[in-house]
Amino acid sequence: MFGRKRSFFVAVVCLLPLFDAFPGEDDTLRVHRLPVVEVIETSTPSSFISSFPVQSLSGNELSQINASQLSDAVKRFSGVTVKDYGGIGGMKTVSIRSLGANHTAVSYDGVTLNDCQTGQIDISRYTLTNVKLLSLTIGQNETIFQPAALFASAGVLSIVTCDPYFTPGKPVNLQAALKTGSFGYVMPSLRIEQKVSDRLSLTAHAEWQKAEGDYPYALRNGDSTVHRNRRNSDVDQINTELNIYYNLSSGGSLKAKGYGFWSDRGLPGTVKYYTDNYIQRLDDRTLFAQVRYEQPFGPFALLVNSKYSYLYTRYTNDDPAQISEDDRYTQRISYLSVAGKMDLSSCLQASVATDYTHQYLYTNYMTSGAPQRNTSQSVLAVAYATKAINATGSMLFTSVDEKVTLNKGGHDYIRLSPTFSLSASPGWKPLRLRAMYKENFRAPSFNDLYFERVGNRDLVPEKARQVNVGVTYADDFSGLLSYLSFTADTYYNRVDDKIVTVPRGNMFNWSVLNYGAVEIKGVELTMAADIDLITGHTLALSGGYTYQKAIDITEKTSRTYGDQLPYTPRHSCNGHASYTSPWFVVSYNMFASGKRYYLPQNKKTNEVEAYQEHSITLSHAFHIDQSTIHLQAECINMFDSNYELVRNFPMPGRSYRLSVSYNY
Amino acid sequence: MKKKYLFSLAILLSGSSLFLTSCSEDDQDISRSVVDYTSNSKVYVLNQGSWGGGNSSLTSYDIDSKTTNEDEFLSVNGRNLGELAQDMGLYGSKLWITVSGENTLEIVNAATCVSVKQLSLPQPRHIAFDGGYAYVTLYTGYMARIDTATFEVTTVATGLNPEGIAVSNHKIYVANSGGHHSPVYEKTISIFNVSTLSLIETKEVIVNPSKFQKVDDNTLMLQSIGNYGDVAGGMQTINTQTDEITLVNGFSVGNYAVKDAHTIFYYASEYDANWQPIPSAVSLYDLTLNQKMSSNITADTITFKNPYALAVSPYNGSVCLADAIGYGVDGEAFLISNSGVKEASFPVGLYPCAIAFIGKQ
Repeated sequence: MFGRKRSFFVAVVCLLPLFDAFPGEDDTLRVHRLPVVEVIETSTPSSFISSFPVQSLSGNELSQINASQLSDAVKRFSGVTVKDYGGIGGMKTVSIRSLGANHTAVSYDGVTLNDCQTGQIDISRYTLTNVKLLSLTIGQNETIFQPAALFASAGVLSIVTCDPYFTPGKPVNLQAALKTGSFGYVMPSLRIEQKVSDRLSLTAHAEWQKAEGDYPYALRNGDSTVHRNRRNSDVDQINTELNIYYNLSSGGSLKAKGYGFWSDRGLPGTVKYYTDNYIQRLDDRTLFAQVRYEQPFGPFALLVNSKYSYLYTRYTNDDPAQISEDDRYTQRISYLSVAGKMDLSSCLQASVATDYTHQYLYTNYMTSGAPQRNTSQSVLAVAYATKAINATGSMLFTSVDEKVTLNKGGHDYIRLSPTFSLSASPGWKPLRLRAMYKENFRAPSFNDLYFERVGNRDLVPEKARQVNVGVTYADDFSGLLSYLSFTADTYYNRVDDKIVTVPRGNMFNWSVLNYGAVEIKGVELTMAADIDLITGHTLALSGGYTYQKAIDITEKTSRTYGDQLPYTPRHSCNGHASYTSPWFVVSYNMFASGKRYYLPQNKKTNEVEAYQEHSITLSHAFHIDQSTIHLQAECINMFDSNYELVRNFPMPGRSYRLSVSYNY
Repeated sequence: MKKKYLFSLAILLSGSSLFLTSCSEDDQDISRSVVDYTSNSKVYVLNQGSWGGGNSSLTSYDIDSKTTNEDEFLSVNGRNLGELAQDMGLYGSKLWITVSGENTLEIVNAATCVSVKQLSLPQPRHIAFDGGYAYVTLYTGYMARIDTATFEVTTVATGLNPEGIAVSNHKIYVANSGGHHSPVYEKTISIFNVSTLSLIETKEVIVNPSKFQKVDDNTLMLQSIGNYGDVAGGMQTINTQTDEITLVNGFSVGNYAVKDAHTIFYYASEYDANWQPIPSAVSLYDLTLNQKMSSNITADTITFKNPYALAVSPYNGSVCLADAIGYGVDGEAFLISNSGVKEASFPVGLYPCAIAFIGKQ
């Protein structure tokens, strides 16, 4: 099939990333030329057949896009806004099509990540090194056989980690890598894969990242420009992961995962003109264990996921001139999901899933005592798939029950959230038309509800509705141009009962409210092309463009009525080109964004300037017996563009990275 | 204000911004002794800006030409005030501006706005002047005395997070807010000897004292904000001869400005269920009669939404009210004559928090 040759839109196949280049994958620099047989067992159709807009990056592509962190890779997707406070240490969240980060689900190997305190997932806590596939779906995944929680958001960022891959007679794979770069960045990592028996295998991954983050920046102050280095931007973090894979004799599979993240980072704060004295620190720990069990029974299949997470955050401010602050937040989250699927005919499938989540937060300040939330989510879904048509329909039922130990708790509520989608070929095979309608809501976070003095227990969920209509085209050719694809989607989103924080008369006094409505109209275009120059030499090009008109429609008499939402560019684009030769691979990446506003009012002085960033990578792999050594050099932001994604949080200028990895 | 980092981060991420520090009120108990002037030539409005925005500005309005300079500090000096300006005060020919988030005190020529001096002080808040010295509260728990000729600085410890400050009868009065210790605020004022800077005594007042204004030579008005929860704020007067504190019953305000020795302009802060400000009028309170009077500034005179600062000209008694209007938007200021006639309105910046009148002979 046309789409199946390209890893770019293959959703499940394991393409080992560059640093996971094991013997057997004879040359990992190969990007687009995978044999069709490697793409079997894709339970998710390619992004060109999907009725929901999907973009994905495989491990191999991830290694070529100058991404050292997940957030760098996510910025490659069209229609997303990554909030990035600069450097390695900052918190990073993802908003899809201007709906806000609370509407984005992030799944880690099929189970959603959870943060009940803010309701937003900080993706800086997860490593990119171990990722074989990163995909972003607007709406929900095309597959209906998944936990109910994955039906509950406006979009899903899926992180899929590497499965072990063994060649006959070699039960151990090893990968050791070292990356180093500007601003004191060093990251050693080690990954071991062990085949214990035909049924049992293990993988372990550990990495340590350390950076000073003291990058130079320029701060314009009226007529002059100050040149300084970022301070208190250091980071010291460890990511570890252990996986156990077990194939049952019944044909089922069991996968258990343990994840640990420890981080100690400085909080550099906004840059100021006349002072630079930040000493605040953030100490994070995220530990979770999850088990996934999948069992087919003829036309039926069962999928059970369970997870327990522990998140600890400590904020300290030891400013001798101030009152020392030491705030601690502990979250404990338990999760169980059971899903069943049944093939009703060769083209009709139905599924049910039910999830239960218990969230608990303890802090040393909230006026609610320790809030707890029980969320029950159940979904009934059907999917119809033929060569010409894909259609899905689902109805999600959510029930939320809040408990607090002090004062009054938030509202309990139930909600129904429908989704419909359709993708159809008009007759000419490379072309598909698609359409999607989805309703979802985001629950108020514990901060929204219970934060000391600011929280509001009367909040109701924030509602989002999405409509998407698009066209996709993908085809293979023989000749110089071997592959060409494009997608064009247009969408209309509406957010009601938006949860906002507004001042109550003075700066000491704030309140969280359901007060806001947003209307978002947008267009997303993506394209990709492969060019076979001469044997062994290929050129791959891809790019995307996003137009978003995301405006405040809360109150007609307001000064911000009709104004573009903060941090939402009208225009943004990205581009990628990579040239593969038998000796090396060179790739080029760029992003560009139009001006944005950092405040609700659209006026000149509230603008955050438009920016462009260009980066380049050169890599080479060589083989010695059963081993592969891979070298890579990168220049990020090569034109030294001085820009901000968040007002007064300057991003690093030109920087360099070198990496070497040894794979056995 | 305590424990707000993570939450504010979340707010920033959701595309808005949270202000971590307080807005000041106008403090214009100075220059009342300057009696040569009979009218205003210029009005300065200090705009606090947004938290993390580094976008404080100083709007000026020229009375004769009816022109507004959106940020005269920037246009004249070619540099920004920076993060969270707090208060300003006029002393002689100089305007002193506290910029809390930058740890700076900016001193400019009041007529031209040309920078004279920039001093570094930790989190300066409010300012008062007396006998050739400026007295500035520092949120870190200190008060600075600055020689207005040599800019020499002496600091003295106060209570927790001092805000308002005033000098009367050779004593310095400092309002200890404890604002960084939310929800347990401070409820004291510290009284210092103006010559020796030694602490005379600490007296208890209503929780979270914030703003002093001079009513007459022997009386200070003090507003307390309360704890934003179960403890309400209130107004009190201090007899600066005896240091006796008297509660002014039935007088609760959003902000106030002393009109004359016995009347005070004020507005209440009222909000609807969505915390959208309900436009209100400016009222008068008579301290002698101890009752609310009807003011000649009514809803017919001006319509405002989110009043932020209020000041009375020491030269001709006209009133300036600065309206923040909403959240994260530019505000508007109104000038109302002594007789209650709206003379002008002009655009100001984000969260206009202090007003200064420049006199004309």
